[in-house]
Amino acid sequence: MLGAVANRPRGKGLSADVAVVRPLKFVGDDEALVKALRAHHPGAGEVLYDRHANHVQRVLARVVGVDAELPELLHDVFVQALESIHSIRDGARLKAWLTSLAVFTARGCIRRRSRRSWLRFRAPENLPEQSIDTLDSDAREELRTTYRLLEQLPVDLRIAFALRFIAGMELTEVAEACRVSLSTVKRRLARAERLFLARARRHPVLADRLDPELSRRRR
Amino acid sequence: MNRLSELGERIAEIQDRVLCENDHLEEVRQRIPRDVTPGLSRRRRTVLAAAALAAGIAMVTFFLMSSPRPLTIAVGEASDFEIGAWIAAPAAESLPIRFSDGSTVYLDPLSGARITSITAYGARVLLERGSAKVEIIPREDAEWRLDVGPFSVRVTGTRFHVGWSPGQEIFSLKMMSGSVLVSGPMVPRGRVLSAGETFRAWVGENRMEIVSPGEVLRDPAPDASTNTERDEPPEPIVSSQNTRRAAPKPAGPTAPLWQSLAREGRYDQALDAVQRMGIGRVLARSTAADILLLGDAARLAGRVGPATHAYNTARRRFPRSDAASMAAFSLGRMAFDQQRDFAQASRWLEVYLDEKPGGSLEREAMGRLIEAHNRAGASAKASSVARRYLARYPNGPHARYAKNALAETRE
Repeated sequence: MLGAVANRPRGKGLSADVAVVRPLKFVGDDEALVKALRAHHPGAGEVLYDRHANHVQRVLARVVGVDAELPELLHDVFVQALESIHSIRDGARLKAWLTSLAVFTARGCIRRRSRRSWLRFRAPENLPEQSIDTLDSDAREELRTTYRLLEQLPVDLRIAFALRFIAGMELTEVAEACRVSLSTVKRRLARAERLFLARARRHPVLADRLDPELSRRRR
Repeated sequence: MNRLSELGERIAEIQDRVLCENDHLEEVRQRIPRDVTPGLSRRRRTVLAAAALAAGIAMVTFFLMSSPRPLTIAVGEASDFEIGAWIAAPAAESLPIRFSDGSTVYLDPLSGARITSITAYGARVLLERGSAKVEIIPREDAEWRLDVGPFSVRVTGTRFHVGWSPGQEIFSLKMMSGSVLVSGPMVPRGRVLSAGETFRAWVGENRMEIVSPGEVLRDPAPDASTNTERDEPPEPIVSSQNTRRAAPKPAGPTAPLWQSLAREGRYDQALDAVQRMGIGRVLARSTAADILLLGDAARLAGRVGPATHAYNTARRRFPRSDAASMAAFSLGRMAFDQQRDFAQASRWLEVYLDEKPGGSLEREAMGRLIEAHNRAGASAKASSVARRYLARYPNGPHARYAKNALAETRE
């Protein structure tokens, strides 16, 4: 869908001070956007990014954590999306499809790190992270401890836990993002909760927050 | 909500703060290739990736040395500056923000802004309050954007003066040279403004005006530049698609009467004219723009029934269109402001947000939705929206309200 430049009254050109007129962005819902991407509409790729980058970045951050590799993962998701846009069946589900791409990109990253962990010179908790200096000490410790514990979980349990409790997704959304059945997600979550809580009790910064839950589990 | 979910919500909130402080979105955006070959097979991708990697290793030093560096910034007399830091002009004088390509943004006294991102081709500036004189050096590859309230101004090389009053929700832009593209409420598709033109928008009242230099208003519409000083009926609603000034165009012999009355602010007379013709018949035959005009006229006249009828007709006749989404937003606003039906307001605002992700009124819709949920007693929903709002608009006009909403649900 063209914008105001194309509809400008004839003879009303841009001032000579402006060297170039840029094509206006595509305007339309996700379904129309997918069609535009498939038709190589100029600017549709930018709209895809502008519209969904925040969400994709948050999904990646929930699963992987806010470390220095996040921008690369974000880049990978959108390149993948642009390359495989023809595979999406329902354009109206674009956001959910991107969520799934992000989850699997994050999964690949986690598995890669796990396979190479014996090559690392630093312990996992010392991987470079984005600057968190502006956070107060409690927040920093909560963030680091949570992801240290998540790293100890099997990757699929970690992903289900992060999507459910940190990203706040509904069970059906988690299942769709992980491309598994609802019953599989429930099983993974039950195991993940059990393992996470068992380890969290050893860390005061989390045990205090989870104490009533830990008490309930011990009964 | 159980404690694990509470912990998760807190972790998400902490992460969102970190993501705001370390904003890489623009940097990644610049790296997304414009031309991507769709449908590459995995094997072919792997082969191509291996070849690219080999070439990349050989080229990496050369690439780093030849990549354009982001522009540098000097604010006032200070040359060390952090992206995202708050910039406030003093009370007595303007504050220049100078970029290394020669472009300058002069913040007027008591105005506040942030530089949210910077590249080799330009920068993104958020003008949070007040006004600024902007002088951008024209370049073929220049890419500048100013976020001013709910409006976005894209610039390639020009001089203009822009302002935003968050309390009164008034936006103004006066062009001195060059041209810009403004998009936002009432101009969702964008509107090019050229040298000499002045654009003003009263967002809360859903009206705007565009005045060209030397124009003489033939019709006795109130002067918009002094409108706030008078106690008069509201300004005419300007249809953003085909008019450029506050006063209506002189009506030809076949010009519909009710539209002119609506644009002149004579809402009751406009509605009476429509009623005489039969509102159903008018709505069945009108364009989407005219239907929204009728809805707005009825809403501003306080006539909720006809307004609702018009907006619902827009949604039914033009499904999945910009007009349909605008109608949803207007229905939500009307439910909130005039009917005080906050549950209804929530439903319509959610419809707008679902239909127009990233739409020009997203920020306003989300902010109102937090309030609507709160007033409807749905504090959990209010918190959920508040989180999303703060992640997306950490400095938006509803940010404080959103933070309070989150704090209250934790107590």
